[in-house]
Formats: sequence, C-alpha cells, structure tokens
Amino acid sequence: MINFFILILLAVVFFLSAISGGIIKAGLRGALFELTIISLGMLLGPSFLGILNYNIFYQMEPILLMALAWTGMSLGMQLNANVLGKFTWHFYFYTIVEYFVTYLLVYAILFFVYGLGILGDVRPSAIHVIAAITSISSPFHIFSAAGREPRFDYVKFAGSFDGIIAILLFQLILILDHPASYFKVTHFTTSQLFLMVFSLSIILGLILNWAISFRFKRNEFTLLAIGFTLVVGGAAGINLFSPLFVALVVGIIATNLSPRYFIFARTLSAGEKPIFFLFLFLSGISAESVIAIRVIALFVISVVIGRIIGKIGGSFLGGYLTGKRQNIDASSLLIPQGNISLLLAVNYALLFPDINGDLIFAVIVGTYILNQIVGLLITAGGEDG
Amino acid sequence: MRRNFAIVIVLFLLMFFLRELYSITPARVVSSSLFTLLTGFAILTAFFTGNIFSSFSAPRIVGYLFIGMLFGPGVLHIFTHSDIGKLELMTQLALGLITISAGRELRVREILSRGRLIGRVITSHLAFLPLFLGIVIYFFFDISPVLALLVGLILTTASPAVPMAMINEYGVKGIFPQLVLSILILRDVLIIFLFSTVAVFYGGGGGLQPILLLFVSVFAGLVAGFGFAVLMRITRSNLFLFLLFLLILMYQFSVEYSLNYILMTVMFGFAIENMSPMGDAFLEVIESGSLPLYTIFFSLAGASLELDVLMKIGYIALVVVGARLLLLFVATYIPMRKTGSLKYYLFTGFVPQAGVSIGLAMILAGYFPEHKILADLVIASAVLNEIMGPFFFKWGIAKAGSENVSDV
Repeated sequence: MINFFILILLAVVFFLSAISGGIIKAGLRGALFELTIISLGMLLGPSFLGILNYNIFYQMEPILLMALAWTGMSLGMQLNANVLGKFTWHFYFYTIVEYFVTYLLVYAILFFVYGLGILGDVRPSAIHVIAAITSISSPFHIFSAAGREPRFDYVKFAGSFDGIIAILLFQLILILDHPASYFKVTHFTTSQLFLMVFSLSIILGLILNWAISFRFKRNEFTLLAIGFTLVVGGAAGINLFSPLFVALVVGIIATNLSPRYFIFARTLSAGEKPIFFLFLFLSGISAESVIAIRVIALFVISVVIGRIIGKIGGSFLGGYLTGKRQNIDASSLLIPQGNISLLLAVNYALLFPDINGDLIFAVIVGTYILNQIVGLLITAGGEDG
Repeated sequence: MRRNFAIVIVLFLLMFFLRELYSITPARVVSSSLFTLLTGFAILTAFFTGNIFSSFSAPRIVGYLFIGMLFGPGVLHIFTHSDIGKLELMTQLALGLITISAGRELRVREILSRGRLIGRVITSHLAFLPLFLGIVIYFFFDISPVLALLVGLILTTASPAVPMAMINEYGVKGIFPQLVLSILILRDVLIIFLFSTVAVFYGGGGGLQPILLLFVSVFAGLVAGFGFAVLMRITRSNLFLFLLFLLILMYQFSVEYSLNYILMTVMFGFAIENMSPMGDAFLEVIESGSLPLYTIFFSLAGASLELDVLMKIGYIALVVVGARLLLLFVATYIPMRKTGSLKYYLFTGFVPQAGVSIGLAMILAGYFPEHKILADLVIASAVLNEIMGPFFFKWGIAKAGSENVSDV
C-alpha cells in the first residue's frame, strides 16, 4: 500500500511543477510564486487542513536523498575547470569575502542569542550550520533582477558560487561534529567514514564518467540520472554524510573527465524544478512552527538582520579588497536567500532527527520566507526608482 | 556489448562490497539509505543488462526481468517483499503509462474497419481458452466445474505491458501491433466484466456493486482523458508532469473507491486518441519519460515473480502453460486462417501474462480461500508466461511485424 501522504505530496509537487511553466508563467513573480507554494504547504500542514504532517519527512527519506543528490550532482556538473578558468581571482576572492563576512556576522549574533540559554539542548554546531546555510544568496533572483548589465557580474558570480561554499562548509561542520558520534549508530570513526565516502565519491564519479561516455538517447540519460542519484544519495545517507556534498564531488569528477558531460548536465537541470518545489512545499508544512514558537521567531529575526548587514557589508569589503567596488544596488541583490539553503536544512533534519534538526529546519524556513519578502521589496523599490 | 558487460560487473562488485561493509550498521540508518542505494544499483544494472540482452537480439525487458529476479527474494534476496512494496508507486505509475499507451492503440475507426476479424478472434479466444483450460484445471483439482471455468477465464488474460514495451523498443508499426493490442485489451476488458459478473453471483458477495464500479471506472477514465486532451490544447509544456499528477490521482481514486485502475487508464488513453486530435502529441509526452519507469516496472515485476510458488506447483503450471500456448495458437489461427503470416504469429502477442491475471486470481482467492492453490497456479503460470512471453513476441515481430493492411 502506497503511503497516502506521500501520494498527496507528490501529486501537488507534480501539479505545481507542471503549471509553473505554462499556465501561470507570467502570472506570478519568482519569489511570489515560491511564497505561494510555501503557503500551500502551510495550508495542507498540521495547523490548517491537517492533511500532511511533519513526519512525512522521514517517510519519504529515499526520495529526499535522491533529490539532494540530484541537485548536488547538477551543481558539481557546473564546476568544469575550463569554464571556471575564465573567471579571474577577483571573482573568487570577492565571493569568499562576502560569504564569510555574512557567515561570521550571523554566527556572532546567533552565538549571543544562544548564550541566553533559551534554546535548551541544542548542539553548539547547530549555530554554525545555521550561519553556513543562511549565508547563501539566490542566483535566480540576482539573474532575473540584474539582467545583462556587466556591473552586476560580481554579484552574479557570488550568487552562483556561494551555495557551493556553503555545501563544503556544511560538510566540514558535519565532519567535525558527525551524527555518527552523536547517535552511536555506526562502528566506524568519523575519519574512516570520511575516507570511505570520499573514495566512494571518486569511484562513483569515475563510473558515471564511464557510463555517460556511451552514446545514449535523451530518456536513457534520464534513467542514468535516476540510477546514479539514488546510488549517490544512498551512499551518502548510509555514512551519514550530505548527499549534496558527495554528489557534488561525483559531478565535479564527471564534468572534468567526460567530454559529453553537458548532455547529462542538461538532463539533471531539467529535473531541478520539481525537486525545488518539493522542498518548498515541505518547508511550508513546517513553516507554521516558526510562527507558533516565539523563540524560533526571535532566532529568525536575528538571523535576517545579521544576514542583511553581512551581505551588504561583505559585498563592500570584498569589492574594496579586490579593487572592484560594488554599490548598494548590486550588493542588495545578494539579500534573497538561495533555495539550496532549504535543501541543506532538510539534509540536516534528516541527519539529526531530533530537536537540532527541527530547530534548524524551522529557522531556515523562517529566514528564507523573510528574505524572499525583503528581496521582493528591494526589487520592487529598484523598479520604482 | 563488452562495455555494458564490464559496467554491470563493476556495479555488482561495488554493490556487494558496500552491502557487506554496511551489514554491521544498525537498522535505523540501513533501512532507508541502504534501500536507496540498492534501488539505484538495481536500476543501473537492469538498464545495462537490458543493453546486453539487446545486443544478443533478445528483448531488453528480459534483461530487466532477469535483474529483477536476481535481486528479488527468490534468488539473491537483496530486495525483500517489503522493499518491493515500498516501490509500489513507481510500479503503479509505470503500469498507468503502459495501459494508457495501450488504450491509445484502440482506434475506433480501425477497430470498426476490422471489427469482424477482431470480434471473431475475441469470440474464438473466449470460447476455446476458458473452456479447455478449465477442463485441464478440473482434471488436476477437486473443484466445481464453474470454479474451474473461472480459473480458465483468468488464465486467458494477457499482459499489455510486454507487447507495449516491445512495440516501443522495436518501433513496430502497422497491422500486427494494432491487432495484438486491440484484441488483447478488448478481450481482457470483457473478461474483467465477465469475471466480475460470474464471481459476484457464484461467490455470493457484494451484489451488483462491483459491476457498477467497472462502469464508473470506464466513465472516470474517459472524463480524465478528455480533460487531459483539453489541457493539451491550452499548454504544451510540462505535460509529462501533469500526466504523473493525474496518474497519482487516478490511482488514489481507484484505491479509495474500489475502482479498476487498469480500466481507468486504458479509457484515458482511448479518450485522448478517439475524442481529441491530440493522439500523436500525446505519444511524444509519454515517450519523453517512459523509459525510466518501464525499466523500474519490469525490474520490479521480475523481483515480484514468485519463484517459490513456481517450485511448489511447477509441473502443473507447466502443463497449464503448454495447454494455454496451444489453445492460443488454435483459437487465433481459426478465425485468422484467411490472412497471411499473421494467422501463425498473432498469438505470440497474447502469451505474456501478469497484472490482470494475478489481480483476478487474488480476488478469486478472496472469494474462495479454501482453494488458494488455484491463485498460486495462476501466479506460477504468470511467472512462466512472463519469462517466455517476450521471446515469443520477438519471434512474432520478426516473422509478421512488417505485415501490412492488405494482408488482412
């Protein structure tokens, strides 16, 4: 018997993905559409209609692992050395500075709030994770607002690249505070697990490179994408590592070794929309806890304030240090939060199915919603001006 | 071929290594992640094994079935029955796509233009197969003649999935696939109605409701198909996602209100083909995403084959399968005797047997729990026919696939 809740959820996700392309393409702006999906999740969630509840998360773990791996592999496929080599060091340095300034500022604020002791048994590393995840910018919003103007090139690059820094930092935090040592669920040490996962990523990357060198039809590539993302998602999950990270490594290997990587990359990018909607919808289901629990609301507001200051300050500092100064128009485009943050939050919630996971997911969803609203206001203000 | 073979070996080695490595990891972690990992390996190895079989001129789906059997509870026990159950959504979506495609092959004009021939074959099948298969069953088991006839009726059904997948694989067009699918579907729809009617009166439960529900299923499928055709006029983007959405809804409705999912989806395809001009555009929609679902479907079908049941009553099943083959040939040959090579090979399309027969056998077991062995016999026969079916149909395609309309 198929789980009724998963059926409903997938039906909604397929429906939303389908209508987003054609019927209401011009009707709603990107951010507004995302907020609508989150609202729909809230509507079907436990506080309103009660059709779906938070437990669905764990019931659909295989689908989520695959979806995370799919996105990670798609990101990894974009990291082709030939493409990356076209950008000067200024771009990378600017991105690293703007990301880490935001990260440190958000962390400092959260550390202060955490020090008040109102969160109970939350692990200190959870604060690092929130800071790492919320520091991601939204490339979608930057590209749609900036158009083709060259003065926005740096923020466009930062928006595309800081999600990858966040995935690496997220995995680093997990290595230093691995769930395996916390839950005592495996006999391997963290360093053994890391070694195994890394070796496995390389092996899977080589197999993928081998497989996509065959001449396949388009729908055969879809099948390969499903098979490989399931394997990668499962391999990451079983080691309690991030599927985004493992798949990123697999994607990087394949993209840099295979001359035919772009066909596979195209297949992966075609499947991203339903995945994104799935995560938005899941976010909506848990979003009500942000409103329901005041402590989380306090956390969310602190993060959003720290993040706005961090993004604008980080952009100024990065521009100043690289000699490519960014004005407020460009820097403010970094404020909307990237959707990879939702994926990382789900990933964390799956790894820590306790108060840590719940808290982080709720905070990230809260900051995501607020940052989208702020981003919408900024974009609207820019257009009016 | 060598590269496909090498990649299958590498995938197998890696899978067994990982399975052993993590066999000591506690269940909380293993349950979901290991299942995800193994499902991925199963899909990839099935795909590459299908390619290997194809290079030996065997149908790809035999490769998928083979890998499914290997991974399933009957052989390597990599997937348990509960694991297979977890993938039921995939099975239902794939089955829906297959039966929709089959329904699309029911073109009213073509059926009417060859109505007599189709009618004669269906009548011949329904006259010969249930009766003579019933006699064979009656010979082996101590049951009433009506019950034997019901089992014979179930054994007459065939699977549209194998012919549909192979028609796609080999790109067969023309009279041969049209006749196979039209006869198979119309005949099986009639059998479902006949079975429900006889079982209701003979089994003594449920009143007329099951028959009424079949009509509701037909109507619901027609409405959904017509709705989808209207949608296709409005937009052409993301239609495959819409289709998946509708399939999930249809499946949920069928579970919730005891409707017949297969009938609904067949009628869905029928409505699009016959009640709108969108048939060809719809074919593109289906083809854009069907391969992954077909691979998963046939791998799972292989894993679900009850090899232990086959072992238990294998010799009776062999006799039944042999009798069914012979009867299919005779019952197809007689009404087709004035056609070209079709009279010899059309029966090959009706050999594969799966979902419908197993579903009806389960209903029968529910009505007559004291004769569960009859359901086991149907399952064992379906296992054999599912393995042999693709080879027979490939043979039929090779011999009569290029037959044209003037030969009929």
